[in-house]
Amino acid sequence: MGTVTRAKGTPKVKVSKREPETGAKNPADAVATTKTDVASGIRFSPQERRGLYAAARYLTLPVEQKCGLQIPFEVYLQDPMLAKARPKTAFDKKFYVDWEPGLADGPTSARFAVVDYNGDTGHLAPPAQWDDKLQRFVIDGRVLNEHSTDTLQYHQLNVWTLVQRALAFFEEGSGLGRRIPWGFEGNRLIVVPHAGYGENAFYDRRSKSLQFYYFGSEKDTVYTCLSTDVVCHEIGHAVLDGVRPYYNESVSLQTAAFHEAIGDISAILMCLRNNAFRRWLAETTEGDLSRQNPLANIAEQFGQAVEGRPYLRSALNKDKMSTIAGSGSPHRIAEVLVGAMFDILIRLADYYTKMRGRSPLQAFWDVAARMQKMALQPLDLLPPVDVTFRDYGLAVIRVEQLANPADPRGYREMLIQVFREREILTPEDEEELNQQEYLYDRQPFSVYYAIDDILRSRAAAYRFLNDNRDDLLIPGGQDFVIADLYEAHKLTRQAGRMPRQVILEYVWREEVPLNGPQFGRFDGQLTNMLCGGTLAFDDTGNMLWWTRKPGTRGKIDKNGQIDKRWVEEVKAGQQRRAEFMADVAAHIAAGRVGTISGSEKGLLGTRVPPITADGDDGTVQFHLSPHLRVSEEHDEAELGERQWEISC
Amino acid sequence: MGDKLLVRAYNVGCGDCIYIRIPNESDGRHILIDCGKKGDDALLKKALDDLVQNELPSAGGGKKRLDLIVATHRHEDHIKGFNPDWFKNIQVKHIWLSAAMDPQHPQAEKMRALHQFADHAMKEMKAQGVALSPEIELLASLYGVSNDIADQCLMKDLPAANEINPSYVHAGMSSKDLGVDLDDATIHVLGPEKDIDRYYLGEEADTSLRSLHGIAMAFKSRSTPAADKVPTNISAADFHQLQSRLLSNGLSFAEKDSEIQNNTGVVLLLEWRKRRLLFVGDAEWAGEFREGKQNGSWNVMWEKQHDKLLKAPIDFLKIGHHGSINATPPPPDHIRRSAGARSRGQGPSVKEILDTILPLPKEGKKPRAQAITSTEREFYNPIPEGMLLVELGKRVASTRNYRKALKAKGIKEESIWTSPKAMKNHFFEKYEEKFLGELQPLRTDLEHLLNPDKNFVEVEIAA
Repeated sequence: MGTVTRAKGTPKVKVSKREPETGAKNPADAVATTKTDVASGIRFSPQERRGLYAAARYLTLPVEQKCGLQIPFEVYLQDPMLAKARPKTAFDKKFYVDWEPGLADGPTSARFAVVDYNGDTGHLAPPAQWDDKLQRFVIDGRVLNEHSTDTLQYHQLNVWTLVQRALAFFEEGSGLGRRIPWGFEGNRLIVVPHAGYGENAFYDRRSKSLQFYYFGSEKDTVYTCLSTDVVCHEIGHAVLDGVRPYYNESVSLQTAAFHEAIGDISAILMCLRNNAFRRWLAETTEGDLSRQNPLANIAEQFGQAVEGRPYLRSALNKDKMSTIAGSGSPHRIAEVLVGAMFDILIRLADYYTKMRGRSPLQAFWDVAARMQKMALQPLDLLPPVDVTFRDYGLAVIRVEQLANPADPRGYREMLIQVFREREILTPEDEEELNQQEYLYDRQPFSVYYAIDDILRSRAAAYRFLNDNRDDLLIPGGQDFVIADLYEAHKLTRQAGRMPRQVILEYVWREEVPLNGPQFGRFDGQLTNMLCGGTLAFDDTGNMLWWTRKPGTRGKIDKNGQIDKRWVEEVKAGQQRRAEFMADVAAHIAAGRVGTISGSEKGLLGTRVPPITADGDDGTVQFHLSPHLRVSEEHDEAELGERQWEISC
Repeated sequence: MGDKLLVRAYNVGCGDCIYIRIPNESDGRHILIDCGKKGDDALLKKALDDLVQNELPSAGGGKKRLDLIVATHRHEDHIKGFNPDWFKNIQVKHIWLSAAMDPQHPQAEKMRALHQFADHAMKEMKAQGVALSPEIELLASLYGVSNDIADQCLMKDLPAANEINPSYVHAGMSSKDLGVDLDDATIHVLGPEKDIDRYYLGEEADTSLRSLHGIAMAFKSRSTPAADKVPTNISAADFHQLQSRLLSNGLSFAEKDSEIQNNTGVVLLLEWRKRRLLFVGDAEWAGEFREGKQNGSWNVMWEKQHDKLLKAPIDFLKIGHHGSINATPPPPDHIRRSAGARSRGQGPSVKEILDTILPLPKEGKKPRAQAITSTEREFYNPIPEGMLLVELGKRVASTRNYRKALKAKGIKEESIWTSPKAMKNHFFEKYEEKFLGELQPLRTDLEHLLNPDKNFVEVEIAA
């Protein structure tokens, strides 16, 4: 296994074998069949467990569970409201989380630190305690389980297990197949389960935190930290910020919407992956997901409490790009993509039940496994800046093609159809996709580099890019930055191994003056538009994918004209720039741009604008603000200036 | 005395200190609406001295007579100057305060709870020496100790010294009802509505506040103050950063309270011999009127009075909130966009307000109405809002082209806003330069520059 090359020096990639044995007769039973409670099973000393842990990648799931390398926790399946309504499926009692050395009070693990601080009271709640003997989290000696749900420590544990599993979901072989960094420097994301009173939950890069608030009355308090959907949605933001940190600087509504969509998509998929949920879903729907069902209903308790509706959003929508045109709400726009992915999910479920004769339960297992790869693996192929739904759609199709080139069952056509129906892909896109003849395009590079020479270090990768600058259509007149360089080990169907992937992302900034009254108070200032590209290779050096976001500067030839090979690129870059400026103007016109103000003891959150503008001395930088207010009503509400100050 | 009504706005920087003199057969009627400003109070004292020495009639016993004091709302830029010492030699006949300030008012209970919460939170922050961003500093200044002194002065000290009781006024009342004799003038109170909680608070704010308190108590019983016990799984620096990035309910409720104070301020329509003068304090407009929600004062007034007291043009407007964009009902779209103002719920009714009370003059005619802005661009970058002033300049007669006027006096416009804050925030280039060449209603800051000896701007209204 190669070493991942990153400037910060991450450890070896662990490919965890979560997938069940391919030989299992009934995949639904692949989860621990032993009735013996792990705690009373085989006992290992801490040292022995560490030794086993190092070899965990070679162990199967049931063995891991038996050895205590996977710890079962009891967590709310969906949220307390549904727990009350459906007591039989209130809890998932065998919600497994990987053991790691160094689990500590908090809970604290390698990637997360739960800090139960309440901003309203200025108080800290005692942390859930890790009991090494029992190998469980406890409070005052009592193991935290479904009987301790009224304790704050149970909440801490609930949210921690969810985010641990969610990160593993993205990192494992069926996901991206690599360790994912956060969007900030450092390894631990702070999780605040009871940040204060409010209908809010958000990810904040600046404080490296996920903050969950609570609302409602004293008797009927709704804790966002206990809602599986809300937690998954927020951790989706955090993960995407790590996978593509430059999306945070985008002014494009589609990029903001993509952030929302990933959160919802991963919430749905993680739900489906949950054995207890899946069993119940199979019973309830009998395999038919095309009618209203709990999987499609996102954040039910939240929706009920905030909007008085049974759910917050539904993946069972029929939105297309044209029907949401003109909307200023990223949540609204996101519904098109979430709907599209749910379409795929339905078609797969349909196919497995009707054409392959699987039972609903088996079919849902297959769908869960397939969709995880289909939805998450394309993330590595996305451009480093300014993603559109179309970028994602094309990446989904490409990932499927690479995993399944022969495609005897016609998955490719199904995907194209779904994205066309939603107008995420154009007729021209469809035509081009149907005309593709070869699996790999001819490489554009004039200067050959062996794959390991690129991967060796960022400095080596810089050299590769520079030597091939012309061919890569990176303008000569300015420097660029390597956004990321990594290798991934993805799995394909039936836990088959894909060849190692090497991904290289590069970006540069193009200065854009904002001149004109349409830029309001930014008239006369400078901002910049991010440009760049993502290159993906496989082990033998085949170029798997190359996607670009061009700028407007091209190579000039001897006659002072734009070089032939750059003409298309520059045209595309000019279009991007025009859209960029239109987007900025639209945000300003709608009053969506502002600053966040606050104090040492907290932010003034009531009017956090969707887009924050920072900067001094004539340059302004736009960022997506940490998003608040999951409910729709507040989404479309425009800002007003605060009565005592208009932010500037 | 003459037979003209006088409105005088003293130059008190960013604040209001408005004197009205209504002529009659003897020594006239004298009214003071607000006496406050942001920052230090020297100019307030100067204004009051001028009033006492040069304007108010004798009341006997070495005192001067002031017929009516109105304090529109409890923000420092309106009440800071109500210092018992300064009013020692004034006999005050009547004091009007907003019903929202009445400690006994049953329909303002929830609003009071909000105010107390905000007051407590902001004072705690100050006491702890918590670092505040500049915008929050401004918010905090609305909860200062000087405010408490002024409150006390208006509600207790001044009434006691003059052996009167303050009147807590609300919409529907008039000077006649309240026993204030203004000869042939009547003042109608247009705002606030009596049912304060219903119109201005909104259900959400109320339930949030109560629940917040209840749940917070439950939390407190199961945890310890962070001051006593820091988290052990993150660094102190990370914890500090985290605290500054949580949402502060203290701040958000303080902001809400501050808005509500503005919107529950006293709004007066003075009718004198067919002339109508509107004094709006800091009343805000906010989209449209919505039942059960937090509403702006203009919205509520329009809802109630568009077919009654507000259905005809007015002759004078005391421009709201020192020329802020959200204190005069919506000007045309391009102004709102420029200032990033609220665009929620832009129904036809909201657009109608300005066109009804200050219509654009017909082709070839000149406007008759007058208006003054009592302002100074120092504390809030976009106050006053240039495009709004230009729009109002088209609708009133009391205007000036300040570019020409300043030039005539040999004053360089680039040299006016040169404090460090003004330079850093480009006051001149961003907020003034484009508008100085257009007609603006008279504004106290620039008028004072043109006439340093004069400490006020005044207009006379003929019958």
